[in-house]
Amino acid sequence: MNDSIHRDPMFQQLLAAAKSPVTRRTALAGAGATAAALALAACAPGGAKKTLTPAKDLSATEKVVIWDNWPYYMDGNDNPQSPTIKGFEAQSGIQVTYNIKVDDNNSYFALIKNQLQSGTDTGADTFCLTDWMAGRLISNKYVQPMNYEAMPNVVANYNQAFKTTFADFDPGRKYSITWKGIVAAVGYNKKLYKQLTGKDAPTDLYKDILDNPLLKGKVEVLSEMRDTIGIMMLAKGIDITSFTKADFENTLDEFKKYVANGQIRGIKGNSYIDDYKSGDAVAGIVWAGDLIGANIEMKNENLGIVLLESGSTFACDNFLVPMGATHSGNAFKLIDYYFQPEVAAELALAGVNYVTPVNGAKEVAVAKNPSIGNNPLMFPSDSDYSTKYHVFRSLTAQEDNNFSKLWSDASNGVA
Amino acid sequence: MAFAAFGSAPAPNQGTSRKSGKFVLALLLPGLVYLGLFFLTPLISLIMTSLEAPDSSGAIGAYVYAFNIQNYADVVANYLPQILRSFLYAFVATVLALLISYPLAYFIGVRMRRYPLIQRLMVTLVIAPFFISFLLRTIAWKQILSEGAPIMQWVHQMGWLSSSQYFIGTPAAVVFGLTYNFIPFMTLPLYTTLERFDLRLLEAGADLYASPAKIFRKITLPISMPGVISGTLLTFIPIAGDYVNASRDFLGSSKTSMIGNMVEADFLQNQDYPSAASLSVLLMAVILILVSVYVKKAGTEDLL
Repeated sequence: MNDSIHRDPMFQQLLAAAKSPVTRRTALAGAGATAAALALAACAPGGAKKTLTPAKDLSATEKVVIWDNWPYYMDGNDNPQSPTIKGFEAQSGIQVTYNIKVDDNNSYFALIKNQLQSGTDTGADTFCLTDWMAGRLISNKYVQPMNYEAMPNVVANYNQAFKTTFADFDPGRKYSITWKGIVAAVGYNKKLYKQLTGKDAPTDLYKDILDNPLLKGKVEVLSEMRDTIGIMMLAKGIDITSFTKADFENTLDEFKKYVANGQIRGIKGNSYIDDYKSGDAVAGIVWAGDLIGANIEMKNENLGIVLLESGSTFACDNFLVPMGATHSGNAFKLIDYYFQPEVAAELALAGVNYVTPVNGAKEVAVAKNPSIGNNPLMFPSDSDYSTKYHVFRSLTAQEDNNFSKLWSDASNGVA
Repeated sequence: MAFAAFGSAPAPNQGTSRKSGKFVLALLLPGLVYLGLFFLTPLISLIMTSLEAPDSSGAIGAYVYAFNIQNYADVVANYLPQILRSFLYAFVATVLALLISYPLAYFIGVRMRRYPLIQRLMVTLVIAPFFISFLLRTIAWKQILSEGAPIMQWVHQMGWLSSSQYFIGTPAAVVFGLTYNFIPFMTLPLYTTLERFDLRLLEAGADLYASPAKIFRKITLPISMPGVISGTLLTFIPIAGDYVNASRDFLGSSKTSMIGNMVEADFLQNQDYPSAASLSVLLMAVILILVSVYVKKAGTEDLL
């Protein structure tokens, strides 16, 4: 119990907020940005967008880099001074400020939206966001192109599937580089699932979970639309790389039905994992890496992951460098550092249980710890990428707007 | 005592009134500037936002001013259940908080008068939860009342809830959280009125052969009314706009969303600023009307 509150992202955020009081510099920057935004809003109400250009790179003189990321993504239990970060600092002489500040794509975007629009400093030199949000930032031209010349490890070790198949939002990976891949699958509490249903493991999303009256109120799914609706569509035999509006709406209606009849109790972001640990959630849609992590943390194998025959969804969180970043050079060095197979393997061995896009990391991990290195959920084979994992197709801006609103209403119980 | 000293001072000379008028204005200025900057400006900005319409580009979060009153009709049509639910939860939680706080405040303020040290200690205990963040306390309750925790296992063993039932995510859990979080706001005003309450009035009532119930109804309750009014206002208003307890990440679920959750969703998730703003203005207006009627009925206009 104690452990879980310390791992709780909400708690982590509160702690981080308490630890980092607003400094004069950030306060001034905030005030400046607000003033700039106001000025911009006053000058051009809804008018033509100005073309943004990258801010001046001060990397040569200022040896610092600020990186905003999601929880559970750093070794040493999310330590901002983790071994890999310390390794980078020692190797490069660049001081890293690692902030666990992204708890949700939308709310992080809302936080820095004004700065992104005006091309001013968002407070971070790089941050990791999920494919669709990365796509939104790229199409709005809020982010700088990646400088591959400064990143030899990325050029050498970037897995082809991540570089191409998973990058329809950024062809050629001009503006984004994968940080981690995330498998969404069916998860369940082995003991409670057996107790409630008498069966060992779910094999069908609808039959065994959503339509099973014995699990009423014990089903919890992710608040990430693309994963939850994606897995539901896959289970209905719909190809999520090319679904239609009607496919989406039909599946959403079903989803609403399961929320209304009480079958689905929880629809959550990162905090869902606590409910799986506590037993409030027995089965549903989860991120595989979180369940692996929870099992390691609780020193048991109580949470199970099932890759359904019908397929699982796959998405990535991607490094982006905003136009206003003042240390882009340092950010590129940081990204490059994490593309060394040894470093990527070190993260996996230290409990960051998400899929690495770095070729060669698997071999290093297998040599050091075969049970981790051979875990297909953490190190899938190239054929898994083409058969088991499916990527939710890119949405047009209009679809994005429309579907997100429908999804938000459905999750909040709005009829 | 200090006030008494001022009270007995000679009345200010009439001749200096113009000068002192400027002086008073100068003293008021920081307050007026503060109100203008931090209350009026955001309020006007909020009202302006609530009247915006999507701009022609149709991009996410892009809106222009359009005097679009339709927004208000839309949010009422879309979120009526959530709006009604907010006021229902706020009403129930306020009544529960009053029922719990009144005996508590009476006990501390009246019965503990003979032991000032214990009295002060108990008041400190009422305030103590404020030393820890509101969010952390609510998360803690979520953990304490989760299915795996001893309390709920015991509740299931006793047969009060069947194995398919649960607590977190239900309306009861949300009302519980709201009541818990706002009890100090009810207890403190009640305590301050009851603490000054003249006990000789109770003796007088007893001397006139009034039953304890009658004494309470005719003496204690009317005298503590200012505390009841301010306590209920201090709980009802913030509860109606609360978005933490009912949030899916805390004690609520999809079926317990309140106005605050819809404002949060529209603002942070959907980037639908006009809807979020019109909901906020609506909430403010409804609360203002409810409170005015309530205070008028209760006959304590002095409070506003």
